[in-house]
Amino acid sequence: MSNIFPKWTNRLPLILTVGGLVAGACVVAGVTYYFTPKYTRVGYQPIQPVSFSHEVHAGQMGIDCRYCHNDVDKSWYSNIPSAETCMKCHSTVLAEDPRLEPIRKSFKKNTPVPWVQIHKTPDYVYFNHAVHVNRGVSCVKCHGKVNEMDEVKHSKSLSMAFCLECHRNPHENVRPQDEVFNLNWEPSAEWDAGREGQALVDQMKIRSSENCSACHR
Amino acid sequence: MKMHSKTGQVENAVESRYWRSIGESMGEVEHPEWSDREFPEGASELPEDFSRRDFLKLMGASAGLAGAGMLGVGCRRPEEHIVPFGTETAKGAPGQNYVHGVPMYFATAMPTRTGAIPLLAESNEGRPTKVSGNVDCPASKGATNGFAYASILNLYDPDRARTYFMNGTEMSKAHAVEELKGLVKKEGRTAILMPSANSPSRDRMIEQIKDRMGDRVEFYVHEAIDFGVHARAASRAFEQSITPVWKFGKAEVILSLDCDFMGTEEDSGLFTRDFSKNRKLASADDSMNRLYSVEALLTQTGANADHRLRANSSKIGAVAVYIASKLGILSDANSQKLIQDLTQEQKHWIDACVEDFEANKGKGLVVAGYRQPEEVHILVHHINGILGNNGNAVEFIPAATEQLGTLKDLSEDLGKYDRVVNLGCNPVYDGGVDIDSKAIVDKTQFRLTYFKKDESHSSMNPSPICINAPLAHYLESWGDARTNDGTIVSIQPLIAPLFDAMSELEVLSIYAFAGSDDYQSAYDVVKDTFSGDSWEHYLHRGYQEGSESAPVTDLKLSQKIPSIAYSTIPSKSVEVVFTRDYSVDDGRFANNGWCQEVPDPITKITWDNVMSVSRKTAEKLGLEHGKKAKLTVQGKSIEAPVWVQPGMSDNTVSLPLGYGREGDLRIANFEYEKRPLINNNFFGAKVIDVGGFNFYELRSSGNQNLDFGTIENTGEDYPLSSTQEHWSMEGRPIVREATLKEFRKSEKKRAEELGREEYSEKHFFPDNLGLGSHARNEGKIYEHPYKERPGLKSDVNQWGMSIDLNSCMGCNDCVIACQSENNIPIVGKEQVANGREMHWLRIDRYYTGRNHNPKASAGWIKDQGQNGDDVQHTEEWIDDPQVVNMPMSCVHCENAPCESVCPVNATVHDSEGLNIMAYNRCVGTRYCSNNCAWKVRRFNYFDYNKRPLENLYESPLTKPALFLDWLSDRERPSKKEDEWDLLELAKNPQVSVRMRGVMEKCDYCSSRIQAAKINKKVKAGSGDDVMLKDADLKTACQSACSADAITFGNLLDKESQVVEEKNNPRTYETLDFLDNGARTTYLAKVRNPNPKMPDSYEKPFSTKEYKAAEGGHGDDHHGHNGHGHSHEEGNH
Repeated sequence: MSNIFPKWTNRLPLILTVGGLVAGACVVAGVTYYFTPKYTRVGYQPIQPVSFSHEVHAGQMGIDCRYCHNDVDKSWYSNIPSAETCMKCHSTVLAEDPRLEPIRKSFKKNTPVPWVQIHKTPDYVYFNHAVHVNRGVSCVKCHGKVNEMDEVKHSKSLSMAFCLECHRNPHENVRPQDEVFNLNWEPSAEWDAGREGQALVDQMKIRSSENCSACHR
Repeated sequence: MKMHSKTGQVENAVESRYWRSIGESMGEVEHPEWSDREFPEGASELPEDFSRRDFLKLMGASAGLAGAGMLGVGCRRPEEHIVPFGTETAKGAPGQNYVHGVPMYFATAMPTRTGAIPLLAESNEGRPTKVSGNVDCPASKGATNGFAYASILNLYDPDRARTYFMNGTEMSKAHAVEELKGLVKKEGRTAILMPSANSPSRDRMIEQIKDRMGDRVEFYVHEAIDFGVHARAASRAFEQSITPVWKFGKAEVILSLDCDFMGTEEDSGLFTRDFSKNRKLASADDSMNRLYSVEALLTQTGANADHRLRANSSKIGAVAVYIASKLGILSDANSQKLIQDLTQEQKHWIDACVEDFEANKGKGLVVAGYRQPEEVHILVHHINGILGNNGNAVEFIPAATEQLGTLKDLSEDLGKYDRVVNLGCNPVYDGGVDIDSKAIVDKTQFRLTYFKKDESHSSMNPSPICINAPLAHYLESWGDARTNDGTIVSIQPLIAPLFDAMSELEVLSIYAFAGSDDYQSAYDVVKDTFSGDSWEHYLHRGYQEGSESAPVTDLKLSQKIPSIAYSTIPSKSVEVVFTRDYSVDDGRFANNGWCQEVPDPITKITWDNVMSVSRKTAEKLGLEHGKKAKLTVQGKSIEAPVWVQPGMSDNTVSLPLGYGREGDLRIANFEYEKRPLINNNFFGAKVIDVGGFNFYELRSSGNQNLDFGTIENTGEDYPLSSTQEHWSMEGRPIVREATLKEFRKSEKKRAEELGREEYSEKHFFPDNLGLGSHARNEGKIYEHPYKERPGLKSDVNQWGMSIDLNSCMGCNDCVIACQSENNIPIVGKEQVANGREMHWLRIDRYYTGRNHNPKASAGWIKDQGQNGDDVQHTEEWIDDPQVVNMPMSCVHCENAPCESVCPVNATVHDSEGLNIMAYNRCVGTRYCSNNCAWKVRRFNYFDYNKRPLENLYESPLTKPALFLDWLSDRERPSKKEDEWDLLELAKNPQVSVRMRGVMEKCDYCSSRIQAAKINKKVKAGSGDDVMLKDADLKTACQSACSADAITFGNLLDKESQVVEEKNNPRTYETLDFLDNGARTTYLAKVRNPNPKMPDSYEKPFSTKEYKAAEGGHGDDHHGHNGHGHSHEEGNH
């Protein structure tokens, strides 16, 4: 009878078990790495219709974020400026530059410039910009150092875990309210999150919610 | 089970004295089994012929699809664009400060027949999504009605007329206007037929047209429900042009003569608000008004009355005459004849009632309803005069508009005119049987219509030379109106007309300028009419300050009292009462899904109207509950279902108007397609029209409100979808009530013992209301999240709600406001019958009876079989029921039973006391709903938003065409595109639209809470003022409640209204013995009977049952008091 099954088949259960475990671990590891926002989103850097450089405007020239994104502290939505905002300067500066042609066209004809969306939360997430930037959470926390990016790219994962990390430890992530739009702000050497950060949390009565209802309605 | 002895649960429905249907009151044998189930029969079943094989097929298909789906999706998300404005001014007018994502609010008003409801409309990204009452307007102080909330859906009605056309040819608006100008200039006489309104601009235009066009143009006003009788009667009684204004807040005793001022009268929201103000008891010293009601139908007003007398609608005149003769006003022979018709009991009732009014001279109010003839109203003015009420609780202001001709006049004068211009009336539908509406339609040469294919299109083609123009919604047009006290309110549009529609004012303006090219736009007309200081201020506030009319003071009653015609119900006949419907008005809301699906406050029927009759009448005439009968009035007959309604007067049939429309309206008259349905018992294989019965077919313009006819049973079944028996509370003491006397007594005792050691809450007010607090804190069934982990609890906000059952009149406004706010879908007649309605908030309506003997009926039912509907005629006590309304939605338990059974943590507690749903986690096990004691959770059995109502069962898995659609575009709905486009616009962007397979329920308007918190935090900046106060937010139901019965707020804010309400001694918690710590508590109902009345009562009829229950299961487990026996015996 032993002719039917060769000897090595005795090891088959072991091979299958070990192989299955290894394969399973690979799949889990693969999914964790490749299928999560850390991989799928971070680094996304589409080509924009106008080669607007945040590095030049926000970094070198030091224009405040709110000069263009002026609704960020009023609405859940941080607006992309209208072409008119660009034209406030560019009607005189680089007025003839061919790179700005889409902007001039948009302003003249009131047709939108189709900027490519980079940061996006799903429809079932009700993220609100206003409440964060008014309460000591800087732009840099989610968007990275935009003032050093020539072309904007997705720098943080913006996954639910990313949100919760901050919501669970607000004292490590808040900063004085007047430094919110200063993307270069770094805590000084004697800044201690447990002390200064916590003092800010207490002073502003920050109760960053970990409840589902905070973002999902 | 231990539970039983502890909770004192009433074990058999036979015991229950609160019953929600006749079937239940009979202790229907089927009932207990039925109510053990999570959902009613059929609600959670698969179709009968759904085999295991089918299931496997489906599973296989879904697995395949999942694979295909993955391939199609790809790994990268699609590229999306952000498209900002080109220029800043494109965002809107300068100064409007449009910020994308922040809703804007505009004051406007919804015009009604005799006035307007001042509103605040919310606009999201340029589309109006929600209205609420304008609290700042002194004329209404925020009072509204359900129709106002539902009107937003009318704006997005897919059946709206969309084009201008003439003789089948479409044309542009500009072209149509040119045609109209030609019409104006043309020789000949024109009759303009318009709906009723109370608008200064419209009046000015009419004046101008009369000046300019002379007798070439005449005006006629048509309304199917005529509220003009109030002004006409007052003008006749006082011989000057005035209209009455009722001030229910000033009245201590109120008598309503067939006047449903809380329901079907105009301005019912305002009246409810004034009336309920005097019913908010906080201590023993507070006083409370008393309401007497004499009526034929059980109306909302009667349901909330302290004393109610049933009298035929045709006998209300006799009641008024009897009161007048008691007061010495009338004594002629005709009066004596009328009085003879009243029974001895009725007379005794009225005697005692009149005594109460005489003792309260100047503090009373007698009102007559719109269904009563002018003569009754005039007599009521005299009665109020003698009682000193005129000038106190009833004031008179100058009548705003002059009386114009009626449709009947037009019909008679038609020969005099060369053409008719119809500005939005539909005489074909609601004109009345004696009106030759065909002749009017044939002569119509210009017509504004709201619907594309209503009956005036299908049954009678408009004449080939008629210009058909779409009528604009009030949220699309400029206008103005006067409210009930004469305050001028502005109507400003929130959106440009969706289909380039035209408003009435635009047409009138073209006439007023005699068809010349320089006619004014509606905006200019309204602006020119405005006489105040600041136009912008006027628009901003929504009303003109100080514009209310001063009451006329030097009033003298005319000595001539017109005699009231003697009428009696012919033998073998019944009186037929035509009434404005609670859900669809006179039919103008018939194509509105929210209105069709909201249960009638009295019958709890959805999607239909029925002929309600009393128990005795049904018995006498052999009518059967729920079966069709043939009603013949003046030679015309109709077959419609009969509903045996408790509290109806005998020999009266009520006919709610507004249903049974013809044409092609997808809500008002759609058909379920012929197919095997999930609930075969319900429709069978028959195709059933939905949308009720058109009682206008029996109504003549002479007898608009009352007629006589004969009725006979046809025995034909008709399926009705009533929510009444769904979500039953099983006789537990959910609603608690007392009389004012009892309340004061227990309050006094409480005050004496307060602070003493042996003081115990349960000995006082709530304890005589039922099994109460004694079982509290004994059982710990569910883990308490905050007691387990105190750190979870927020120290900033904790939410709570209090609902005052003494103020709630059961009007459904909150239900519709909730539906509008929270994107709640409608499910259709069939799914309501399956118990799958989606309303997060419902109004439970319970009846109790004086002489109910459950024992007797229990035996009877055993003999008669299971169908409780067949035995209703035998129970006497349903004739004069007491009624309680109770709004019920998720009570947000701290120890929520639903949370502990959810396998995926989809329903969890948040730190502020909310029990919330994370929709994305929900996998649809429905365990939570099964474990909820309040039955307030709602499950999406279908994708109601995407699938057409008449075809919910058709899916990509059952129909290949839909599958191909789905492959090409997975977002694509199977709803028709024109419907989808519009209904999307009505959605609130702050709330998720739930899909199939997800559980949902009330979340205390979580989106509003979050928005309020965010606003507060944004304002606080780096400060710490983040605690929410009353001023910061209101839930949708709270802001909708005209009676202020619902209070919501932050329990940690000790100044808040809700904390005050919760300290009210009337506060109790539903099912408190479960120790769930419900955050919604209720304030018990207090009735105010007059001890001298023949039908007076020491305690509300319900009290006895609770005593019995407490005796049986309360602290004393051995002793049964006298009331305990019946239920023991009833069980065995």
